Amino acid sequence: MSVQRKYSRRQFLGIAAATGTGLALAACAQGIPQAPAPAGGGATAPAAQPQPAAAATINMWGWTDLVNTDVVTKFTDKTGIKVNLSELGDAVFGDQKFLTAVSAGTGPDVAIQNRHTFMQFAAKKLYQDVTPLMDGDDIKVDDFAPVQIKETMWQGKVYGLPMMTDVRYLYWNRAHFQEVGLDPTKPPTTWTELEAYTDKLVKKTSDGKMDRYGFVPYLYGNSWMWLYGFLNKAPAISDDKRTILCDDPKWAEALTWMVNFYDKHVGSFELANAFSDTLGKSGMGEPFSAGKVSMSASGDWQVGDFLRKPDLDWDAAPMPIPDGGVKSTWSCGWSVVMAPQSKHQKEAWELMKWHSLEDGWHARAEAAKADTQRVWDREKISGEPKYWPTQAVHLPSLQMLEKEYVSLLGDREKKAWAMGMDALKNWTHGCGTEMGVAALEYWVNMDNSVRSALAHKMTPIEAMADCKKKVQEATDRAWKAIESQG
Amino acid sequence: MTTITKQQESQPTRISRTQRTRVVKAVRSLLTHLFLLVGSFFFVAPLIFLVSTSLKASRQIAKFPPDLIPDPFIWANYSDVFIYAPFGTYLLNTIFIIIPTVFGAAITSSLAAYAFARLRAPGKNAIFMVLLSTMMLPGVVTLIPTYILYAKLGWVGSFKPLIVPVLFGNAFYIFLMRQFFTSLPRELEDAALIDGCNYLQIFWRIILPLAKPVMATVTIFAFMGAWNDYFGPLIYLAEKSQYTLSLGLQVFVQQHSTEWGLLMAASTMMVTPIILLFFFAQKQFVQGIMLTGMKG
Amino acid sequence: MAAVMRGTPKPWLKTLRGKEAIACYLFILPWIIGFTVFTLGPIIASFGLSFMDYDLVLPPKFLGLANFVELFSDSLFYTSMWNTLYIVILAVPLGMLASFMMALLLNQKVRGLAAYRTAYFIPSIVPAVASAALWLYVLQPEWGLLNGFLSWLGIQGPGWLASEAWSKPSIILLMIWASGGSMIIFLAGLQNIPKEYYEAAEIDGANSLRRFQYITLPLMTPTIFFNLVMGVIGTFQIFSVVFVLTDGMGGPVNSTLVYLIYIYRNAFNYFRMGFASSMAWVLFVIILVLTLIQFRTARFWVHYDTDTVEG
Repeated sequence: MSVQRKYSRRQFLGIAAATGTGLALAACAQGIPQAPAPAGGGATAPAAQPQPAAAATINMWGWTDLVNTDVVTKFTDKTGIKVNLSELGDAVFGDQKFLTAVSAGTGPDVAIQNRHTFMQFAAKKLYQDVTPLMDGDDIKVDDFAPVQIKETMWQGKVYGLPMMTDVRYLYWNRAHFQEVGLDPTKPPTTWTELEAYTDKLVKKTSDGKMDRYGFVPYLYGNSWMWLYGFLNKAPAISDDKRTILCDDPKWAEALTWMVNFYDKHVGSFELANAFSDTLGKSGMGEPFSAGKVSMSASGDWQVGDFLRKPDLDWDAAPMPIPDGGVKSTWSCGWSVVMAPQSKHQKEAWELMKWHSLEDGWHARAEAAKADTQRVWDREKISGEPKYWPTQAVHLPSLQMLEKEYVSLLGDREKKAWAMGMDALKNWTHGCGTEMGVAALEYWVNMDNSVRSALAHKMTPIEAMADCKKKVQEATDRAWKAIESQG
Repeated sequence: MTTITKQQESQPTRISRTQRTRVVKAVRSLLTHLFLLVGSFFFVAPLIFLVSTSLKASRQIAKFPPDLIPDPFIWANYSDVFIYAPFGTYLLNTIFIIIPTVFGAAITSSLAAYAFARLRAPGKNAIFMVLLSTMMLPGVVTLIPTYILYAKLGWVGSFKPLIVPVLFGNAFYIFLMRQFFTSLPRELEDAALIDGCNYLQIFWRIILPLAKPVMATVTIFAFMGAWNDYFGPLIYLAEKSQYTLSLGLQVFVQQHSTEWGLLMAASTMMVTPIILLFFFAQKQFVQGIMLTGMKG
Repeated sequence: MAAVMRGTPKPWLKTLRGKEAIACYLFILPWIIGFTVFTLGPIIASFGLSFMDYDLVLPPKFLGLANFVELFSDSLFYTSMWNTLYIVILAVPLGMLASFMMALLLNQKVRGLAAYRTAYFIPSIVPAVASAALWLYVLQPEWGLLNGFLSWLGIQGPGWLASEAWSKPSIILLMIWASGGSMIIFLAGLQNIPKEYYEAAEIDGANSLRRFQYITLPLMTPTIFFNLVMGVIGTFQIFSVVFVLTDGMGGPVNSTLVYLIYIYRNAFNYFRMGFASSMAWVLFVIILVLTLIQFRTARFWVHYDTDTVEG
């Protein structure tokens, strides 16, 4: 069924192309290596088409930096399966590359994909169902952090293996706390405390410019509205992923708090935002590391950056919560998938497992550790190199990383790691599960609504109603397409 | 050029005129230099920023407001670049793409430009409009059919999609050169025609030698277009060993943490040859001006 | 040659005019082949898709004019079109003026000219990441160099990229700064002017203002025309600069959501390639009409030394 459909579409484009070229391109349509049917609906088990392992070279679109290249090389050393690794591209070009190639029928075998759009892509069968392969290898859903594996599932099937994640925490600068007479071992735990601490930590220059912020809620570090909504127990989407819930009063409540926070404790949203944008968009730094904000909501990866700056006296704790709120956080990250036209399911599956499970994680950690050593040498950083592993999603891999690498670090880092483990098992929210099948619309419209409210162009309630209206429309449209695809 | 002779100026005496000219020239030269120097600062700033960042440790790059002088100087950023990727290979790949591209841009496009500028044929202006209109449709909506076309030709994964289409000429270059050819004096060609030259000979012997400035301009554009192209190589090349320099820079951009020092060091090494090339090309031009005694 | 001059009637192709036409077609032929093979098909495909629902996965479904109907009732279509027009209207003339003045300045007989020229071209050479980062620092409202300079003059500077009112002017400023490409074209145009004209004018006693008015400006009109037409075509399709400076969001609050970012979003983020194609074709028509108007009006001000071209 879907082969038929794919063909007619390609024929359409082929004919359209041929009209112009004068070449009989439509006749060449047979020349395209025919892809097997996307394994959607579980009708075909990809494992049913074994390939001789030695002969195959599989294509992977991922990151081409040193560590990731090394991970792939070690895979080939171990399995004998040759991998042709090429660059996925950044967010903009990456999606464009993947979608263009897949819709032209020439996608890769394996690709790395962001989980915040995972459901949108999986629902369109842009990834293969790997449930039968998991069953065949006795890999269980329970082997992974519960929220993250759910993000790669669509209608009960698993469409890719989650690789890494990035739990958000509250980081605070202990030196700044000491400087203003706060106890450096006690971070704020509630939103009310956060406001009080912020007022103490703010520092202005003699001519009234903001020299240091105490805390800035939106986009200092990596803190989107999602984080605050979840802290306030706001639901983002219904369980059936059909109803967008950003008009729930809990969202407007969190946003109202945020608007007030800016008005009372930050000053102008515009100026504050420009401040972090300068560092954030240029990508070269972020206000917390630069000592320009004393508390910051940001992701787990920041610890690795902090360790490169031995002077920075940081610590991490769970995000403060509103009255009646719940200990919570938010995390996103990357997964590894099999593209719909892969003809080498067996090898591709091996490579996917390598990227998600212990052996591969061990290889990754070794490569990253060697790179950390290089950084310390190159940048003449004092002390021993400190390697902070990226958060895996596979639970045994996380344990392995803790045992072999985190154990070498100091108490502060061990504490932060333990908090991350706890969050992954018990209290984090995902991104993919919360955004549904029109993820990018949700992302863009949520951001626009928040900014409109912070700039006092809309009330929080109006802003969230606007978000609901636009995203619901997009979600309905996406569902209609999904249902017509069958 | 009837306009030139139209205007008349009251003739001052010879001596006062040269004196005045000398003063005016000195003042003007001073003002020009002042202007140019102040202006240069604005335009050289990104280069200074680039070089300064390329010599910093990441802990200093993160500072706000940024420092100008690296402390300490991290010279290893430059040597470490080559640990991360085979930039020598990437350079060869880039040159491999650039040579035919520049050749195609200069030769094929200039032929078409000459025809559009000088030769009369029915329907020519309509064809010219079609040529211009190819630049008006955003590439984002033709990407998929274009990709399918190259996939059918079996070109995806090779340099061909980046080279072959350019060999057939490019609308931007054709339009640019057409504008220049139209302002060349016609008398030379007429004379050549009477001497029995055919149009190819006229193009080759008369037009091209006169069109050096625009040919050089097109070469610069074509060179830089291929040198900086990121998206084409990303989409169409399949293996790391085929990568170009601009795509190769991606190795420093990791999830959440970019190695800015290395990225900037590699970028500095990538722009330096371009700047030198441009500088020496300009030196040739400037000499040309000095010789012919350009006045303006 | 002499044979043609004789009065005997010949087939058109053998006449002087015919030979000229054949040469003309032959010279254009490579481009026509390239166009037909590589460009025309995809253009037709995208035209077809603009009347269809195409989500990159399912076969396209014919919708008739539904995409266009929806487009004209989509508020973001108007927002993005207005943002783009704003930038075109200001950035094209200002950019041309700036680069023309730079070119004039750099076409003088001064020492170190090659170095100056290279310096002015640098913004077009350095990688976008470096110049974007630099601009973010320069335009930083509180600590940035620009507002620092303004406050030294006693002026309270705006929020630049962070402000809805000033985000578009900020982008225009950046575009003008990076207009080294059109400066190079103007420079080539200036060098193309035969030196004899200036020599003749000097003998006639024309001062530099007159020489500029009667020689430089008229002879530069083909180049000015080129930069104008290409400026309009290119600026309507502005994408990368805005994308880098606003993290792809077109913010704050859609104030820099330019048309191509919205097309891109529909095509590859929202899986609405049909809708994106209809947007692209609306843009195509707008640019085409504006270009035709420019060509029609060109005969009143563009000076060519030939009678065979219009515009």
